[in-house]
Amino acid sequence: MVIKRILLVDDSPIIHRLLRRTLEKHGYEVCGDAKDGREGVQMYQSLRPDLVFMDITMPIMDGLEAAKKIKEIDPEARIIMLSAMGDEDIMGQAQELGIDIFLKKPFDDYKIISAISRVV
Amino acid sequence: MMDVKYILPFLESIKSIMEQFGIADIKRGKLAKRDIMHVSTDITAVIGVVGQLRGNIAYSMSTDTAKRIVSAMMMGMPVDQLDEMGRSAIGEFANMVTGNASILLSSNGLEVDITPPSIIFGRDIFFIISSVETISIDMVTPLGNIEVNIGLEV
Amino acid sequence: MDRELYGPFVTSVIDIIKEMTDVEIEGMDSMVEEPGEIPSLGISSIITFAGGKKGRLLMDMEPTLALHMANTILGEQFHDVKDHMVLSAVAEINNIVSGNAITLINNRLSMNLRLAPPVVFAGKDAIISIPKLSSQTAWGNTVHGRIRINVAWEGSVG
Repeated sequence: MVIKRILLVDDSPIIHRLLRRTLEKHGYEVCGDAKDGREGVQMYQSLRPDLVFMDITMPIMDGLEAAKKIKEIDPEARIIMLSAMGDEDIMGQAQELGIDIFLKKPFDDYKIISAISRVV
Repeated sequence: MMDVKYILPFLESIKSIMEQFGIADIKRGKLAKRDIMHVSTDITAVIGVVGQLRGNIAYSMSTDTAKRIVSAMMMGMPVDQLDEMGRSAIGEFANMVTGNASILLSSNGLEVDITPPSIIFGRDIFFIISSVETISIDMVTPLGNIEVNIGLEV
Repeated sequence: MDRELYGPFVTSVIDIIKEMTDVEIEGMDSMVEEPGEIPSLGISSIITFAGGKKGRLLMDMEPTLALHMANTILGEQFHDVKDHMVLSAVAEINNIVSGNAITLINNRLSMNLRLAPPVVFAGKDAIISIPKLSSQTAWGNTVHGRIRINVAWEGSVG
C-alpha cells in the first residue's frame, strides 16, 4: 500500500508545523491536524488516513490510549509514535499495542521519511 | 470549557487553607478563559500536577496581599517585607492549597501528585501554563485578591 | 552532587538545541550551586516532575536567542518574545529537553517520573525563586545570546 494521506496528532502547534513542512516537502498530504488523542480517534474514523503520527503525552486522551482505540476501529491502522518521553515503561506499552515504530523527539526530515518507508 | 468539577477543588482549598489561618469570608469573583496569562501583580506561585490529571496552577497576588498572607500563616506576626522566609512561605501556601486540592480530587477518584512550587516576582509578565486553555478566577479575600489560573489538560 | 540526576539535563539541552535549531552551546561544562533567587535573562521555561522523586528544570535565555531559535524552527521572522508562537517554541524545546533527560533517568534509576506541562514566561526583570530546594546551574553561551539551565531535586543534598 502506498502512503499518501497522513493524520497528525500532537498537542503542540510547533510540532504540527514542523511535521507538515517535512511531509509536504516530500510529497505527502497532511489530511488532518488533531490536538489531542480523542480528536485523533475521531479524525481517524472520519478521514481514514494511510498513516498516523501520534504524540504520547497529550490532554484529554493520551497517545497510547488513542492508538489502542484506533487499532480497535482498524486493526490494520499504521501508527508511528513520536514522543519526547520514551522510557522502558512507555515503550513496553506501545509494543503491546502493536506499534512497530517509536520515534523520539526531536526529529529531522531523514528520521521521519525513513520511518515512513519502514511502515510500508 | 474545563469541567467545573476540576476547578472547584482548588477554590475550595484556598478557602479551607485560609480558614486554618483564621481568615474567613472568602468569595469567588470573576471568571475568565485565556490563552496567554498576563500578570500585572507582583508575585506568582506556580505548581504542577501529574497523574490522572496533568497541568499547572498559578496563584498571583500583590506584594501587600502576600505579606498579609505570610503574616496570617505566622500567627499574625508583622511582616514588613517579603524576605527569603516570606517568599518561602508563599511557596508553602501554594503547596498547601494545591496539596489539599489533590486530596479532594483523589476522593473523587483522580489520583494526582503535585510538583515543587516556583515563585516568580515581577510585573507585566506574559505566561503560558497550559497548551489547552487556562481558566482564571479571582478569589476575593479580606487579605486582598488572589488570582487563580488553572491550566489543566482535561 | 549526583551526576546521574543532573548530567542528563546538560547533555540533553546541548544536543537538542543543536539538533532542533543548529545553535551550538559553548561552555556548559560545569554546574554550580545556585545560592538563591535567579534573575531571568528575559524568557524562561519551567518543567516540573514528580514520581519516585520531585524536581524541576528551569531553562532561561536571552530574548535574542529565543527569537533566533523560534525563527529557525518555524521558518518565520518573529520580533517579540511575548508572541504566542515564540513562547510555544521555547516551551516545546523545554518539553523535548526534559522528556529526553527524564527518559534517561527513568531507565537508569527506575524513578517513574512524569512531567507536568511546560510553564513559559517573558517579561522585564522577572526573578525566579524556588523555596527550599537546592539547585545547580549550568551557564552556556551561544552566538545569539546566553542560556542557563537550573536543575533542582527535592530531598537532594546538592
